[in-house]
Amino acid sequence: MYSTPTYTGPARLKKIVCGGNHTILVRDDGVCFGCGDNANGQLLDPSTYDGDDDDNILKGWHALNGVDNPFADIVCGWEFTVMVDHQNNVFSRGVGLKGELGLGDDLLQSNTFRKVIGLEIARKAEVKLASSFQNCAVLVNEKDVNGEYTSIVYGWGSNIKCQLFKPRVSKSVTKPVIIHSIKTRDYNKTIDYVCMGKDFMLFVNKEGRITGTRGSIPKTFHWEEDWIDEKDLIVRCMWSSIHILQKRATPEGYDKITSYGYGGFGQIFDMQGKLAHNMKVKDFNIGSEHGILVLDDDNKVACWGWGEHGNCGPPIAAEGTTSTSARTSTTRGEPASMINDAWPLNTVMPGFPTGCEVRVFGGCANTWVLVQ
Amino acid sequence: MSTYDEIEIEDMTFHPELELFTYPCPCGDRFEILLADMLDGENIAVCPSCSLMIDVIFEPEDLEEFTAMAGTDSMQVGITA
Repeated sequence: MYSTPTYTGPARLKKIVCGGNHTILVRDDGVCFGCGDNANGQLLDPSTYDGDDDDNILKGWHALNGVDNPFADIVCGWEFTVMVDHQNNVFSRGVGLKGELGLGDDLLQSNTFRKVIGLEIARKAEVKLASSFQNCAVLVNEKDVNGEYTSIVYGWGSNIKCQLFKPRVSKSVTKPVIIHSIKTRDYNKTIDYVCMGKDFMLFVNKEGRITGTRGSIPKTFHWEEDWIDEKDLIVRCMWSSIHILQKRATPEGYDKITSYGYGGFGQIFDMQGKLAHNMKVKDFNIGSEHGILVLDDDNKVACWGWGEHGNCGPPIAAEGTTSTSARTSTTRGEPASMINDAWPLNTVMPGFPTGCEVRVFGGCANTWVLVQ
Repeated sequence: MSTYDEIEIEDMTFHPELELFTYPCPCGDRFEILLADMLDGENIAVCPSCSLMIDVIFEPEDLEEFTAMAGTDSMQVGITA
């Protein structure tokens, strides 16, 4: 169900980012390694490598850059990759027919990193990238000479569901546009990150408050009514749902996850709200349609949601299962896999020794556990 | 039968050479439905790699422009390297 490759090197691994079918390991010195689909140059220029690799698929980890050319941040979308360097230049590569590269109407595919059009970001600014499916967002935080902070979020890509702006004057946005901005004298009110689903996105500030949304958010999610007063939230999005972690939210001091959106395959965490989880969460992340937790008890890794490809671990024992999901059948009339949904939480890895740092990452029906 | 999502035909990618519509699946593959099947009234696109399916939202007249494009070798959207 899972493999356990060991990485040793001069720097620690910082994160793992996943596109539709390509994956990038990011070291904390800014050196990155990629594997997977490279049919559109989303990782490397196909003309620059040889060997046993198929032209379209990089098998095994390939260095994307060197220590002399470190990346400050990098994210993946469906078939594209976006990177920012330490001079705050933003680049993209791969393919995006909805404008996901941000390179203009005439450049929808690139085998090399090309500078995204029109983003001139001051070198001293804080820059964070976010991407999902067919969109990319760049968050820029700056402090001016008067002590005022500005948060600007630029976005591009699909606007089919108005995930960038209203009205939908265009289905595709091929150059960065400002989709959200605030000015404040309070650093904690600046935007901390952008969280993106397939057709929507949310903005979360450094207090951990949700401060805005764009696009086709789940109909039951009324953030201005239900969440405006809540802070210290940790928000993650699957393609079709929003998941909010609150630390020490129960009277007993346990953590709580509240979900909104599509739950046909167990994606909604405790849909009926009847289960006592008594959990303390160390790390929390999301794949395309599944969620991943590192729990305090022995660094246990557990998943929920759609797990048809083993991404939520082995099938759950029937005992205690309270799945509310709809079972599906294939067009061939075969019963669908019983591991289509993983609910309640399914233990994927029973634990790691105290002292290990365990972090989790998710992609399209895959789960990554980083143990250092 | 429960489907994963409802997707409008305008959100899908049409491949004229294959006479096929596709849309990304959360498993990493793509949902597929043939133009010919849609002309016959089919509206369920299936993923060849998993059990998920989507409802394709369209009106019969929506297919006219794609029928005219079918069989050509050109991409729906021009691609520049």
